[in-house]
Amino acid sequence: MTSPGREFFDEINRLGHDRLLEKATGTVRIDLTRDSVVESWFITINAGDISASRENTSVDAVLRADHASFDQIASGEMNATAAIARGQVTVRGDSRLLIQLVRLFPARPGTAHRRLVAAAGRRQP
Amino acid sequence: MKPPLVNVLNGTTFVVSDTGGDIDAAGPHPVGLFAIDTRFLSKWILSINGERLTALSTDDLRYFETRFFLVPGTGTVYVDAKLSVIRQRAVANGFREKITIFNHGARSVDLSIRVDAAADFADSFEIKDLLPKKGSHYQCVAEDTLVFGYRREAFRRETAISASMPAELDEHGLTFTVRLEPRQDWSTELRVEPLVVLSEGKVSLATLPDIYGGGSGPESYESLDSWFHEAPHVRCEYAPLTTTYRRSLIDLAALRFPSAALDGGSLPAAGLPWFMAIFGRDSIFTSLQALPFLPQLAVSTLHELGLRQGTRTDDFREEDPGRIIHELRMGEMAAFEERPQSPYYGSADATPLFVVLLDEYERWTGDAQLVRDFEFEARAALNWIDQYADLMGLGYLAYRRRNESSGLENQCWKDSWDSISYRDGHLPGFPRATCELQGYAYDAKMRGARLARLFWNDALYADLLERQAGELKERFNRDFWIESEGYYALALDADGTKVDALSSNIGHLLWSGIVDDCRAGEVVRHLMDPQLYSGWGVRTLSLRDERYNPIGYHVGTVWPFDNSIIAWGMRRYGFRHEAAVLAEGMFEAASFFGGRLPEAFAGYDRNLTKFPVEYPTACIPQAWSAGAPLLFMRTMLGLEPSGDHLVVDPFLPETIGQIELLDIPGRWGHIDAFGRGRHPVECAPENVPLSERLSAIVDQTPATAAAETPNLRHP
Repeated sequence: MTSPGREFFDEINRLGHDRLLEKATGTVRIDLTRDSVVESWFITINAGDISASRENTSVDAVLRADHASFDQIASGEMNATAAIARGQVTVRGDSRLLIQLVRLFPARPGTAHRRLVAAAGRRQP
Repeated sequence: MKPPLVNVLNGTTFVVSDTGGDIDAAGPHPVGLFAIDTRFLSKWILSINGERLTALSTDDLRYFETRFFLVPGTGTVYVDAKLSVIRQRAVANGFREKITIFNHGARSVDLSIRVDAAADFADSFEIKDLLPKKGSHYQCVAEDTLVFGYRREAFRRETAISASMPAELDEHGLTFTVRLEPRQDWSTELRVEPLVVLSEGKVSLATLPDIYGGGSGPESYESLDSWFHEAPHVRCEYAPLTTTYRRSLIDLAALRFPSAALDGGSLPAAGLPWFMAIFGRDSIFTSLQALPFLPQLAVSTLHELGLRQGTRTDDFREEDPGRIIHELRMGEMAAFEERPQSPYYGSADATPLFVVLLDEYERWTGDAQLVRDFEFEARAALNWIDQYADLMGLGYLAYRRRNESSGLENQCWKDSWDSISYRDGHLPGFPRATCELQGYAYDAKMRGARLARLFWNDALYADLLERQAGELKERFNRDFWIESEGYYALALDADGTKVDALSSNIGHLLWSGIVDDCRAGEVVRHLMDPQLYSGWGVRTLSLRDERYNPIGYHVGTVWPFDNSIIAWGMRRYGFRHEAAVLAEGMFEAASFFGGRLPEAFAGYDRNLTKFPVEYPTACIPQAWSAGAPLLFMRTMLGLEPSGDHLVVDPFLPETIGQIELLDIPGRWGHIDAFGRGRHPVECAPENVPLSERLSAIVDQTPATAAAETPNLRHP
């Protein structure tokens, strides 16, 4: 069954590389909770190369949210930084990596796509 | 009259109390223990046998540590001085307070020592705007700890209070029952710890991830010593300069908090009490001011702002791809999106200034690697200027808020609602293109071109940026210049009409280099005219403008930061005498504030008041006010990197005498600079015609006589 959260991970694997992440290296575990069940995803970034998997590996930071909240974040309906301040999403570990990750989430639906920045950073003709 | 308040701070954690150390937020002043935009303690009152205490003196040991000397009794009639009390308070991620009571009498005494405490968990925006809380408070006594708590959905904050000596705890405070023999003393240490309560457990500020943008700097004497050691050493007989320099270094140390982007890095919070958070514009200006002294601030600032640069379009936060953040808050109102600072991007100047800082940093330090590392961010910032900020389609950087409920109307440094007006007082429409924004955009493009050519291996882009900058300068000098008045308009209105107020903004244009050479003299003449110049410094708005008010935040007050940039600009165009006048005036003003320049002071004429009158709610310390004296020193000494060398070309007022600035760090290693004040400078001459006071145009030769050859110590 697909969900905005699941599509977010699929999108990461389709993307493979993101210029926004070229200063980042490390792994963030995303713990998605529903009742007492935790589903963990591992997002590994290596100087811009990025992948998402369910395979357990050592991590530098952890972001924890319930499924419903994460779906809202992944679809842009909820802002991740405000959700962290609110305690609805919790984080620990490497803050730099977490901020890099938060920048990947889209804006509210109906606003322009974040990938504009990739074009902005490209060399001028 | 403002009551005297005592600030103890460490990064974004700070305590504001009365001079006895008591906190009672029931009064009108913003007192309390604050951290991560929240007041964790709103009451903290010490009493002995039911009596409040009287403060004898306060001793500011280190910025994070203060001692209060007290005696029981508040009587104007009689104070029983058989007992005395010392409270020693140290702030770092909360605070510790050691209370010591001495019995000087010949008899034993029975004491009931009481600390009344409460925590309202007010968001700093709620305090400023007098808004009520929406969640619920709780308090409990758990073993030896008194806990105050606040909850709104998953948002939970607590304050935990404990003592090293046995105490009786109740939900309103702590009581110690003590019998003190003659000549004996007793002490206890109280700990007050702010906590963030998450589903996984309670987290102290010390272990809270830096993503929250909070926390304290290193709390040790060694750390402050090494901070001083790394900054250049000043020798000067003019006491206001050395006192102010030292105070500035301390305040910049005090305002440091850990960077999320750079391990071991720290950047300054903007100002106490209202702006204890990351502000893009303030961090950049402070880093620019401090570059010759504390270049590490620029490194942290570039990393932090680069990491948080906008990536998407968000109307609530006014985020765009490439835009540099304005402000980050993690308090309750930002958390529940009742305010947009999570983070907020509503400033039009931080983005071009980011490129300016990157270039200026390389010119001083030769750190080419950092410039290469930030190519992507710098290009995105430059792109933002044209792609997202040319709102009128006229080729000017302009702003119009997209968040109509809580965004800033004015997104320039003068960000209060009434700061941009016509001479007759009416307000222009939106978008607004203020003049200094065009200067910053011009400078960013020129500097971006240098970086593209020298470090990014992209000559085509460099050519493009230079061409755009040239066109902007030409356009600007055509469209903003008010021929009949001889100065640049404060802004262009939405329809391109010149907003004709006379403001300090025109001084920033000199710094950016966008002023045509033939017009610089006219601009300086206006800046130094009594309409703008108060005798202490340049006012934000001139006397003859309808909205002028000597105690209006951006419409008549004098801002030390503003003046430091203006003086730097005067120097750029050769007006070294006028730059020295501004520098001297500001050091003299600083001496009235114990060397600590406030955010702003009143715009009254110096001849009228004789001393700089405080602005009612000025922040102090304020990062870019602490940075201002550093930039004035750079300007007076004429320090300018040139290739791998530092050019020293001093022009000092006679009163300042000789300055030796030793061990200036930079791409040259460390260099000493010397300057001797040979130039009579009069800040507030009475009844002297303006033409006689303005001498820069004719007085450019003596400066070369004063220039000293830099002494290369570590080539």
